[in-house]
This record gives sequence, structure tokens and C-alpha cells, in this order.
Amino acid sequence: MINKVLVANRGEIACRIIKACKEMQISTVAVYSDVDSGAPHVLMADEAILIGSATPSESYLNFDKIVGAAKQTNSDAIHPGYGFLSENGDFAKYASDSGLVFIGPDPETIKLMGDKAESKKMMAKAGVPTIPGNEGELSGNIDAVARDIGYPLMVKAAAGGGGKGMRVVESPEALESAIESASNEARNSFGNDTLILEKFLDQPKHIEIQILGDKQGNVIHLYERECSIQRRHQKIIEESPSPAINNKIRKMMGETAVKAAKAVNYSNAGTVEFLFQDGKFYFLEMNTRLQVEHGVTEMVCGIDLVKWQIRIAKGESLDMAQKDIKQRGHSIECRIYAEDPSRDFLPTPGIVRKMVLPEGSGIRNDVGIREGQEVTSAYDPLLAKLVVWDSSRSDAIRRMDSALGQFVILGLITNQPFLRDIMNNESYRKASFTTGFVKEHFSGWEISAPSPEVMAAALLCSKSTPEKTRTRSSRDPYSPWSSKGSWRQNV
Amino acid sequence: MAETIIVGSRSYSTNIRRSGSSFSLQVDDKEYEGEFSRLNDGGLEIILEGHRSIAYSEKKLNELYVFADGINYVLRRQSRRVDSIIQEDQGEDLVVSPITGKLLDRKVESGSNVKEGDVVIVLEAMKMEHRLRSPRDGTISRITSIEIGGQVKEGEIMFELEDE
Repeated sequence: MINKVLVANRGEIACRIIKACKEMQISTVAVYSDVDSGAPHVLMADEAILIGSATPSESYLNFDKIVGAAKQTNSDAIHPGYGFLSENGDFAKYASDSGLVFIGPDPETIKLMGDKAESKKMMAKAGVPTIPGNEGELSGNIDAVARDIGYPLMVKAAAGGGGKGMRVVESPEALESAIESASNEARNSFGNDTLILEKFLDQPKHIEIQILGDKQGNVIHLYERECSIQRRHQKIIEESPSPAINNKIRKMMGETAVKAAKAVNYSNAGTVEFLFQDGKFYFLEMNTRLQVEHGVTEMVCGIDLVKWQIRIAKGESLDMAQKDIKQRGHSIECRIYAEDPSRDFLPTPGIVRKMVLPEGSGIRNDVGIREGQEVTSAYDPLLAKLVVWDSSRSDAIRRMDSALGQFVILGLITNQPFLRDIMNNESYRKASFTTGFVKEHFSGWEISAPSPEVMAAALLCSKSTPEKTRTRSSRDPYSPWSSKGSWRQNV
Repeated sequence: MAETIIVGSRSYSTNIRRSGSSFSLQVDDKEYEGEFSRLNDGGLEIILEGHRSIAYSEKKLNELYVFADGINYVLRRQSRRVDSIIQEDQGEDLVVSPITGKLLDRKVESGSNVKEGDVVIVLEAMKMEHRLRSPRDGTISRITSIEIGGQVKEGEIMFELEDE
């Protein structure tokens, strides 16, 4: 039985999981670091345990502190959310060995899928199309292997992720140095310098399939998500269905994802990611956790993925078959980040001084911040996810644009203006894009010129504040005293 | 009150005059007439040229956070009203130049005692004179050594006060 769940995460996803638990009448425990003491997930849970400092290894990544908090509160299960410990097989094993239910797949599955070389080999064996390349570790005559694959090609860390340890190689002359730098980066980032070579797809779309598997061996898919709108190899806008594929491809991808999941005896929620180009799709990786963008699938399929994660962890079997799963209408998600799109998407910490969320039919807010809260540089700059649903893609785009236009968030720089501009971009509206979309259309992006209303609001604001004093600490690095000037010192 | 407002890489010279709930706004060479009222949730109702909109704004040092027209803007103020630019820190006051311009006059020297409101520095920019006054009674502990007629940059410290 699962009567109490400890949520080993923070921000919007911790709130999302706590809400699902409340609906299932399951008690919740939040864990938090000292900078998160007033955070929404802490306030929302039935109990909250301070587990350490802001440094993730001292808190949200610390096995002993999290399992200790679960034991202390008599929790039955741990939900890892996404990020942090969600794809750490050792943690899943440690939690299970400590008598706790880990809400996710088996530790062995997590470990296997975390190794890109191993999982690719496994998938190829199961008949899942993979990107042409050397299946497995790089050895022997590398030049000949590369020549067989053909240029341009990609050198990739087997343990990689987040764009680290990846190099595009245009020609044979550049191969050696790309391998050297990728393996250095891989060793430093993942402690493992195993590399794989693959054909480089120059115009790919990123399309992924949501799957659900129970412990009885049933696996279904919940169709696809289109995730090609990315910056720095990270998604910012996702939607379902994908406007890029027809029903035939959709069916093939779904069936392939189920085949992939069955090949590894997958249980719980997971995602099979594919690259899609020229009518063909290739296995990219399998994510053994809940995805950030799971909301768009929930909107079109009418299924609560977090509740199913918990039911499956309890041992319940799926009460629906593949034929019961239908895609209805269209859903889009925009990730609201504390980052500056005009400065290479640099994170922009600050204090949220004012926040008003959009509301209305077909609008969902998954939020992890509240007014007055400081957004620190300690964690991911994701503030909220705005998800909309409407009957068609064009209506959903209009609804998203309008909902974004009601999203007030003041006190720090966010990507809200940038997201609105994407919603109004002609190529986005026509669904003509690849993973290169942001670079192609939004290099050198700048916020639109302010209208007289914006100026009036700004100047009427500044006018209302006390006129006389302006204080700044002398320890302020931006203090003009810090810059060298010419002085007459009173001695 | 005239101010230069920076949004992204563009800058705008602005001026706003208020009388009651009416205001007249100048942005570069365009002028607008409007009405406004404050809402109890902190918002502003603005009617400009017959068009009504609801805006929110927050301010932090030089930065103005404004939501209007469905966009969250960050605006930076370049010039501020000269008489009001005072920096305080535990009994020491720094006065910086609010503008980039020319040093016209230095009324006192380092070590001089001044009273609140005494003119210490005179600057000029865009054919306008700006007087920097002492924010309180005290002694000038440091003062800029820029030659009369020399260039002064925005944010550059003009003088520092210490207690008498």
C-alpha cells in the first residue's frame, strides 16, 4: 500500500505530484533545502523536512538525507519527479533496499537506458530503428568506421546528456580532435569517456512517444509529443499531436515505442525519444521518468500520468487497452523560464514581485513559484509551465498567445515576450520547423519596441515612489566606487 | 520629469507631466495625452488616445518592470532627477552623476562643511544645467577632481559626505 509519498524534488513538478497525491488521498512529504523554506511545494505538502543546504549534493541529490526523511516520516514511497535523482539507478536501488517503493521503473532498467551505447545496441537488437553508426563502443580502425557511416557525423558520449560530450564532425580531418575534446568533456562531466559515432541528421525534428507499462507486462503508448522548439539543446515549447507526421508514421512510432519498452520489461511512465527526418524516425534515447512536458499528453489523452505512476508502483494493472487511447484536439506547452533570450538565454535570478496567472477554459498552469519568492541561481530557471488545449492546432496557438498575454510576472527577466513572438511566428504557425528553429528565426532577437502605454506605466510607477533617497551598499560590486576614478582625498 | 529610458538596445527620451488623473507623455518627438487610475490590486488603468489598458509595474533601483500590452518589459532608467540622486550607506553618502555631460563648476573643496541643500557640483547636459546638492549637513570627504569643462559619465561619483 502507498499511504504516504515523499516527493524528492522542488518547484512546479513537486507541486504537480503533491496535487495528484491529494486527489488520491495520499499524504505527502516535501523535502527542501534552506533556500526553499517558503517555496510552494513546502507549503503545499502535509509535512516538510529540511534536508540541507542549497548545494544539490547536500540536499536534493543526497541519498541518505532523502531516504532518512522518508524513514523519519514513515513514508511508503518516493516520487523523484524529473531531474535530480529521477534517472539514478543506484538511488532507485538504495530506496528499494531501504524498504521504500521507488515510483518509477526498476533500477536495472534505469541503468541500462542511462547508457547510450548499451541502450542503442539493445534497441537495434529489438528491431527499433537507430541512427546509423557504430553500435556500441568505439574501437579498432576509427577512420574506417567513420567512413562507413559517412560525413557529417556526430561524436557522442555514451553516458551523455544535455549537449555535453557531443561534437558534429564535418570532414575526416576534424575527426581526431573532435574525438579528443568529446572524450575529455565526457570524462569530466560523466566520469566515463566512452564515445559512439553516428550519422549526423542536419534537419531533424524531435518527436517522442509517451508510454505506460504496468508490472504485469502490459504496455501502451499515449501518442507523441513534438519537441523541436529548443534552445541550448533544451525544449521550450512542446505540443501534441505533432503536426509533422501522418497517421501511418504516428502508428508506427507508437508501436515501435511499445516494442522498445517491452524489450526492457519497462514498467511505469517513460518516454521514447526519436529524431525524425525525411519520413524516417530513429531511436534517440529512452527517458525512464516523468517528462517536463507530460501535461500536453494528459490534455489530449485525458489521462493523469502521475496518478498512473503511483497506481503502477502500487502494483495495479492498466485498466485501459491501446484502442481506448484517443488523441483529442491539440495541446501546447510553453515553459516560462527566468532567462534572457536577448543574451543567449542566460539565467536571470531575481525576486518575483508580482505574478498574475492566466485563466480561462482550456488553460492549465503548473507553477512552482509564488509572489515574494526569490528565484536563486542554485536551481533550474524553470518557473512555470503554461499548457493550453483547444480543438485544433491553430486555435490552440491563438489560445496560447492570448494566455501568454495575460501572464504577468514582474521583478525578474523571463522569456515570456520571446514565447509570444514564437506563437506569432509565421513558420511556427505553419508548423515548418526543425530543432534548428530558434537559431534560424530568432538569432539576435530583441524585445519589441515599447508602446506609449508601456512608457506611461513605467513613468507613472517611478513617479509614485519617494523622491529623495536612493540607497546602495558600498559592498555592491556595481557601486561606482568600485570603478577607478580621479579623486581629491580629504586627508 | 525628463528621463532617458532604455529597453533592450534602444533608448528613448521621455517626459511625463501629471495633473490629477491626467498626464501628458512625450516619447522622443511624439506626444500623448492620457488618463490613469490606480487599481486596488496594484495595477494601473491607463486610457491613452481613447484606448484603455491595464498595466502593472514594479521598480527595483534603476530597473522598471512593466506589464502592459500583454508583454513583461524590463526598462532601465538612465537619467534621474539630479537633486534626488543620493546614495547612503551607514552615515556615508555618495552622490553620483545622473547624466553624461560636462562639469561646469565645483562650488566647494574637499574638507568643506556643507549644509543640506547646498549646491556642490554643477553639471551641464543637453544645454541644461543640473545642480547636485548636498543631501544633508556634513563634511565633503572626497570630491571629483575632473577639470572644469571636463566630461562626466553617468554613474560616476561626484562627491562623498562624512559626518562633521
